[in-house]
Formats: sequence, structure tokens, C-alpha cells
Amino acid sequence: MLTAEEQSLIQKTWEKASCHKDEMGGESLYRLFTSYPTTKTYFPHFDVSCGSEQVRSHGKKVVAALTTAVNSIDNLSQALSELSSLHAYNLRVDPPCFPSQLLSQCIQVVLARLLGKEYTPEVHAAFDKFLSAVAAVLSEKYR
Amino acid sequence: MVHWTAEEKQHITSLWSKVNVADCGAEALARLLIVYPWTQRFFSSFGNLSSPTAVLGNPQVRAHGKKVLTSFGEAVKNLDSIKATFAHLSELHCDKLHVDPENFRLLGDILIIVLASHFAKEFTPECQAAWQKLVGAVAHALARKYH
Repeated sequence: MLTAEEQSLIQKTWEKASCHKDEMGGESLYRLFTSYPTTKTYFPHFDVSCGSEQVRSHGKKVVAALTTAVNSIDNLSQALSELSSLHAYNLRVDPPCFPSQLLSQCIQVVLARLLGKEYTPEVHAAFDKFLSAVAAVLSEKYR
Repeated sequence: MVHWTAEEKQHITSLWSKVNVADCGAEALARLLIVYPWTQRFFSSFGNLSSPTAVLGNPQVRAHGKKVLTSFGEAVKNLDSIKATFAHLSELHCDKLHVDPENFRLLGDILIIVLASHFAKEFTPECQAAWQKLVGAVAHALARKYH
């Protein structure tokens, strides 16, 4: 459960990063594919090369979904309900937790680069917890 | 044996030469204890770890963080023999320290985030990939002697 303080930290941090939100998602995904090549198996139909418009565009979708999550941080289950169904029944990213940990790592690397010292241990802890909570909601309907 | 391309070696050694081992090590260990508080179970003799401020200011955390990252530096110096380099430490972590190897993966990922926050420009996706491979190789070597 995210505490009120953690929720506030996450919302403030996301706000600080928002001027970069167009690039953040694409960069996170590109880092995911570069550091963890097996994750490309979920995107066989994508051009995953550097600067790919597909990756950039998909990245924007991911960031938009995270923004929804940040804005409804006290009710993630409801806010992400449709995405949860999508991941469970259509996408079936398997196993649910493992690739999410990798994406969480890449998103946090992007945030850490962006924010430098402002990505304090407290912010880091709150975000790690938040991204785990998002991953858990997305895999809620798996079985 | 892990195979490294020339570019990967370059990313690793070049970034490492800029790292302040004492500061980065202290920060990485502190973040491990803050972000994953259950890891504090291995450091019950370290005194006050009750808040992020306490952890960050704890001199034993600082000292031990420096020790850990200095040891990690041995991997950077011996990229072609990481398993051999950490054989003894692997036995130690299993037989004496009783650390679940999952924690090596957690610390590795945290080190990556610390590096990203300090070296934004250098930490390109390719640089991150080389470092994720390195922390993975070190974690694997440390888990190798477990029984």
C-alpha cells in the first residue's frame, strides 16, 4: 500500500518529469530492448531500432497509462482495469512479473537520468513500489 | 565465461574510471536498505536504520558500501574471469552470511540507477546494457558456489 507521503512524492516527481513525457516512454522501451533482448519477443511486428517511430509512439501510450495511474493513485485497480484485461487476455505477457520488473528498471533509469540528485532514495523507493503495484494490477486477471 | 565486445568493455571501464567508489558504494547500499527494507535483516549490527535519513547518515553503511563497491571493482578489472574472482566471496555469502542470491540482483539494479543519476550523459542505452550484463554476471558468480 502506498502511503500518503509516497503518493505525494510520486505525483510531484511525475510532474517534474512531464516536460519529457513524449520521449520518456520510447527511451524506456528502447532501453528495455537493448538491455534485455528477450523482451523483443513481445514485439515481433515492431521496428525496434534506435529512433523507431513505432517504439516512440508505443512509449507515449505507456507513459499516458502511467499518467492515468499517477492521477488515480489511490485506486489503481479501477483506473487500469481495461489495461489489466488487455494484458491478461490479449497480450498475455508471460510470466507476468518478470518483464514488468525489467520495464520498471528501465523507466527508473530514465527518471534517474532526468532528475539526477532529485531522484532521491525516498523518491526511488516510492517509485519502485508504485511500478510494482502497477505491474500487480496489470497481472490481476491472469488466472 | 562471459563474452564481452570491445564496445561493452569500453563502456564499463570508461564509466568506472569516473566513479567515486566510496560515495557510489555508500549510496547504493543505502538505497538497497531504503528501497527494499527487508534487506536490513543482514545488517542488524549496524545500529540505526530506522529512516532514510538514518540509513544515509549511518557510518557503518557508508563503510560497508565502499567495501562492497571496491570488491565489485575487481569484476571490472577481471572481466574475463569474473567467476574465479568471486569464488571465495560466493562461498562466504552462502556459508557464513546466508544471503539469498536474489539480493545480488537487487543491489545490481540499484547500482545501475545510482550510475544513471550521476552520469546522465554517459549512461546511454548501450552503456546501460553493458552494465546490466556486468551486474548480472557478478550476481551469477556470487550465486555459483551456493549449495
